[in-house]
Amino acid sequence: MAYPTDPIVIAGIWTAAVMVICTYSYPLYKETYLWRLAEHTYIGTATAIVLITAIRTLIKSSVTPLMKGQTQFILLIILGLLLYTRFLPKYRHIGRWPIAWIIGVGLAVALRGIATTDVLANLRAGILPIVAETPLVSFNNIIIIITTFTSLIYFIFTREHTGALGATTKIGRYAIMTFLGSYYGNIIMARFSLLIDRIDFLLKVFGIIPF
Amino acid sequence: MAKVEEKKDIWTKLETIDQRIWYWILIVVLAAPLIRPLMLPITVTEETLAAYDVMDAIPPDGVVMVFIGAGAGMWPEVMPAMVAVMHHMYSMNTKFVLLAGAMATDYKLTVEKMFSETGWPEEHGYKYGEDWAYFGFFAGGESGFVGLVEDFRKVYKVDEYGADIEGLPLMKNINTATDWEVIWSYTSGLDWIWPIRHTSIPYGVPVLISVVAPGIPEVIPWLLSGDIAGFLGSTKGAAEYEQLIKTPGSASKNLDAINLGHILLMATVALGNIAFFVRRSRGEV
Repeated sequence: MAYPTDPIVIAGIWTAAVMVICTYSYPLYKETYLWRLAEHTYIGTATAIVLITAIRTLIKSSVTPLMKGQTQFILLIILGLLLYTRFLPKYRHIGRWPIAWIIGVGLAVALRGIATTDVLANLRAGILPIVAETPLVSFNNIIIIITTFTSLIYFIFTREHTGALGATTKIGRYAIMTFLGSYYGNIIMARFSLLIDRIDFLLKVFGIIPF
Repeated sequence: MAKVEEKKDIWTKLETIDQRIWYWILIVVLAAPLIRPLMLPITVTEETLAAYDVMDAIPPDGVVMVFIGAGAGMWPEVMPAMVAVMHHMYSMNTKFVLLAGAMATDYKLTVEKMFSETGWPEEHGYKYGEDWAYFGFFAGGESGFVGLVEDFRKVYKVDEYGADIEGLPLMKNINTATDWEVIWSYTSGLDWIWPIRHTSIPYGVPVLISVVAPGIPEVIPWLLSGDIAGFLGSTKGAAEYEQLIKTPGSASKNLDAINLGHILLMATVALGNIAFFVRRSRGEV
């Protein structure tokens, strides 16, 4: 893709590049007003986008059907408005009703899937053949079974971790630490991806690499 | 009294080096392969191949739900996968429906960014309403998702452009979970669990997930249990998918930088630990 020629696009990408540099001035130099400007601009813009999306969704999902005669939505709109009573100290207690509704519905929806998803699915994932198609898969399966079992044992707190239980929980602890190490590595990859994308953008804006 | 200066050897200096220097080194190490690509080999993993095989087997009349749950902040990790999968769908003329939820309040920007890289569907011969549809954001989180897989019309009565859903031929036979051929979930949070809980496990609908890197260890158990058909893990998964569809993109290019960044990180961790053990052996720690 060629370097943009539209003046508005060029202004946009250079504004973004300046904001990126201002943001990265904090770890690369020190806290400056430029960094604060970039941070506050980002927070303001993100908040505005969320607000606009929320208003559009509200109009599309509730106000428009209400205007078309579906009067049941009036109750939902009223419940939503009651959330704002938290800003009025005298009527703050009324705001608990819509919150209770949201939590109740959300919990019910999640609960119906939790047993099968979070418990049974993970149990199924741990039931693996010790003798599999290849020796490597067999080895992997044995590792998964042992680490799953010992990690679960680690969270038994009704008995002191001594003797046989102590040895088992020690393996479990190492398994958990290995997982945390893997999790840390994945988080690093995620952060690097974000940084690389911005570096790539800056290199393109400065014309060092093609767009 | 004369001030006694503490003698600093290399190991002490390493532990007290200004972190800004490390950040500059990191920037240089990550930028170098972007300027001069190394083209390091990419090995395709089982989970990516499984996702590719599922997409490749979609029949001509199958409709894919493309659920965008990631915001613009996660574009670097999720956008390459979205672009690669969209290229794949275009090559097979797969019908799809775009919708957004969870943290994708800036979904319009995400959709425009994706189509700016892949081309709008009309540029690939798609007809709106017959081959693809766009329904925008649904509120309510998991509750909203449950609503739309049980009765799509309960959540969406009009599309993103205000057109009545009944006027879209594509949506004529699409209303419940089992009407979808595949559900793709692009996510940066925990919303990848919604399609598993409410479509894959109860109805057996194939679910494919594109997840950010920290979510990879959490998603693997569901792959092992067979509740998801495949997944793309962050930039790496997207790069593998680009290899499979033979369309190298930003993920393949960025993977060189990620590899070098990780090598730098391993070197610094090793160096820090060596410094620590040397100083501990001297009794200084």
